[in-house]
Amino acid sequence: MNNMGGKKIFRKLQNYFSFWNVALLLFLVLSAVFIIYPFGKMFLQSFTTAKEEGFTLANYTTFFQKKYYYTALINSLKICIVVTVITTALGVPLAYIGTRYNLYFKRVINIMIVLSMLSPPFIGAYSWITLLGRSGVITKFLASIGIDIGSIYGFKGIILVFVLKLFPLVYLYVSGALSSIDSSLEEASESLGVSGIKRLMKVTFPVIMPTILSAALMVFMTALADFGTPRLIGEGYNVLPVIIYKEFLNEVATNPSFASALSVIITIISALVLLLQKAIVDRKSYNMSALRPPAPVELPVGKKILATAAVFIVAFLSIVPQITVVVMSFLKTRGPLFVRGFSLESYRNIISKLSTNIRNTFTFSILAIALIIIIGLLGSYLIVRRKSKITTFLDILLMFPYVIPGSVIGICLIVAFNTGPLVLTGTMWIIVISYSIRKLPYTMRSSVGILYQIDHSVEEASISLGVPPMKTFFKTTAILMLPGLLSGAVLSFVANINELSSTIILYTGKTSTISVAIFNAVNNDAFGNAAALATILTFSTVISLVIFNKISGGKSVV
Amino acid sequence: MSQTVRIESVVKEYGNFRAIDNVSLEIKPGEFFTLLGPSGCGKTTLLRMIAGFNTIESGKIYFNDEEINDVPAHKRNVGMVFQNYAIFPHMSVKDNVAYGLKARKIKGAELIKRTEQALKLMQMYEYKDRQPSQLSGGQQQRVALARAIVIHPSVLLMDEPLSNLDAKLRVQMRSSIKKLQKSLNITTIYVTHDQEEALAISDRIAVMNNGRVEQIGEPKEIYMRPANTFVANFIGTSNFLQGEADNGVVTILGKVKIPVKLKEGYKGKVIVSVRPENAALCPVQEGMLKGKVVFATFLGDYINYEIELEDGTSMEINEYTSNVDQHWEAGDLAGIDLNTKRITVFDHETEKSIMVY
Repeated sequence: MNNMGGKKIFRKLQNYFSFWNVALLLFLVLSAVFIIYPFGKMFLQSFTTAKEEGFTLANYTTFFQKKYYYTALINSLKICIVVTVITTALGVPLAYIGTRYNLYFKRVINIMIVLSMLSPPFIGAYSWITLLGRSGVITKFLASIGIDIGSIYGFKGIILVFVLKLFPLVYLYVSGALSSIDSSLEEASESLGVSGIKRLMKVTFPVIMPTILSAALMVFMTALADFGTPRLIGEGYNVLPVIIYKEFLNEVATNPSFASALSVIITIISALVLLLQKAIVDRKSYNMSALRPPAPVELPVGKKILATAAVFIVAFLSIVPQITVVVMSFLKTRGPLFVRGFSLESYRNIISKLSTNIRNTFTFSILAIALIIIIGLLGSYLIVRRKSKITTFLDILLMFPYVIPGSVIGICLIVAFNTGPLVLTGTMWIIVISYSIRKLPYTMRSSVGILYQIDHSVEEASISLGVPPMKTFFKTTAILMLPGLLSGAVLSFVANINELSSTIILYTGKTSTISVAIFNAVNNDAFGNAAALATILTFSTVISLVIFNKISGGKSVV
Repeated sequence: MSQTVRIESVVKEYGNFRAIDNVSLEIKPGEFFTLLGPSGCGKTTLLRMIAGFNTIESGKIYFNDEEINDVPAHKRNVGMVFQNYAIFPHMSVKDNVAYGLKARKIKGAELIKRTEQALKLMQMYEYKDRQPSQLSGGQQQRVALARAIVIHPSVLLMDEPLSNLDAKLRVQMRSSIKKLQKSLNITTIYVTHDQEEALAISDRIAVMNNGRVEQIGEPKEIYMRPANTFVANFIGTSNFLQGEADNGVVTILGKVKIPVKLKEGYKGKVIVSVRPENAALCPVQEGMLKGKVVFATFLGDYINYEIELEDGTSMEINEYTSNVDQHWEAGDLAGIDLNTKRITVFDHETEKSIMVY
């Protein structure tokens, strides 16, 4: 009897310390250390200054009183709104043309669009400077025949780069939605006498409106968070991420609390946008899977050429930066100037001087991806299959970095791990952590999605056949999740090799990456080196995309 | 080998909702036992408690004399067949079946022998190297069964295993399941909402409703002697007629008097249940129920009549085509001849049977 009682207690303990409970505990501890603590510390720090003791709103009042600062906020919002409006106005009609009509070179168009979406925005800024900047190739050519195109620095340039970089996002999201409308819906409308433009306005667009809005808000958030573009092509045009960077670098020794306050402000804006998006999508989302997606219509030749031209030109413009950097990387350079003739000089340069950066980029990104895969695999399982108040809380925690711009994550991590029990500043780990938490939400969402599609009883079958829960997970569900998880991870990987916003704050000489090197090269007018480095990134992105296609069996990126 | 499953006052709660409300059962060794009931009655919940996938809030479950409440699912040694088969999609047929044996550290020749035996038993041997995606629903079902029995489970649990098959295959499979179960002599608990399937396959049935057991018995007993109106209506079809009972005589519609063996001295309002096959249409005679034919449906082996009685009650009557000469048509007035030995009488309030057999 006594023995049986002991056995029972042992079993109860075993149940309590089951694999998943331990994993949950571990994740909660990790997110407390690497998400709650850094952000909390930064948040608290934003209410302090070096001069005063205790709690103060001084940083915030300074922000809203000094023109230099609040103008940056206004500029940021101006840029984001204009970019969002233009990308949507451009992306939605083009997506409609692209999905509903047969175009020439459709595959090429799609490849260009996906590639430009995945490449880093600062390469866009840099390329357009080399083409349209003060000493740009096109500027000079036009000047030689007497045409002055004016300056593209500042507001105009930022808008140009963002629009071409972000319109693909709208295009891909909306194309996805348009091809998941069952044709019966539009046919029903026609049979009821509503057709043509009227049908488009009354049926098609209202149905995809939630998608359009989410894409638009994604554009808004990305434009708000980006540091490289406004820094490079904006010149004196200050936006929030740029002044955060400036404040932080200027004052890191004396008063990082002002940068913290700026970070809090930008995070709040970003979070508000996300909440708005969630509210819209939750309220008005139509779950559709087309049994019979609309077949693309064959246009008469003339119209087909026009339609193709419209989509092709925009897609081509968005890929111009990539083409530019690849071409330039093989040109001979003298300082900031490109001279006639081809050479591999730039590549020789970067391999001799910057091989550490190249190695770092791939080491950090691969380590981050390994962490992301493990956390994505186990975390999504906890959230979907072990639903409770605690796992819902974990879900929110892991998704939180999604709203935090890269530069803010950088500052959070520095503020948290500069001193104290865990010092990480200056190590490679702080960059790996930044990459992991910032890009985790993407993989998380996709693996949660996959998990909902995997039948739970497969696991129960395994358990009932005598395999304990943890082993069961790795022998069944984990294997079934892997293709989807990996294809999500490839996209996170691409985002990480191209990451600049947080790296620029976290790097030291030893932990510098390709993106940082490009940024510095552009600032030092070493355009050849920048082009060669950017080509490496572009090339890696293309290879990753090919791998993605292999893993996901050719399904689209979005 | 085969085990007794004893369920003692088991309760399952989801918040305030009692999914299983104090259920007690005892399933005998080697018995084919079915939990039957409408969706949401708790039958699957109870099965999953036995399998170890649902916790038990109170009460106890025993396999033989061992209480298994705190034994984790993977140590209960149950074979389970799922509604959607839950075949491992990333493993071949052979690997699916060998899975549970490998978990039991069975290796080499023994592993191959037992796997092949199970596959042969389920007539799936030729398919052993196929991937699940290459199998039909019926074949997946056979793999699921082979996988469940190959481990020599103490108890075999089946959760609506036939509901995804087409009608003809369903009838075939249920007889092969029954034969398999008898030849292996495994205690089996089977969940279904299909009363015909339950009648065909089970040694005994527990009819469940709202988390409670309404009646336990052999198929014949449940059909012929339903314990209450729910069972009478859920198993087969029953016509319910209002009546009065007094001194061993039940009066329907105030005029038709039927002598029935009721509980000693029972008196009061009753519900009389008549199955469609236990009444026949005939020319109208005095002292007999009569009604108008509303609709006649010819179904081949029998004809189904919808009759409206004098008080407006609707009644269904089936007549075998081969047994009758006269076919009735809508509008006809007919007498109704009740097979009084086959009627069941329930108390009007409690809706419980007051018959003495």
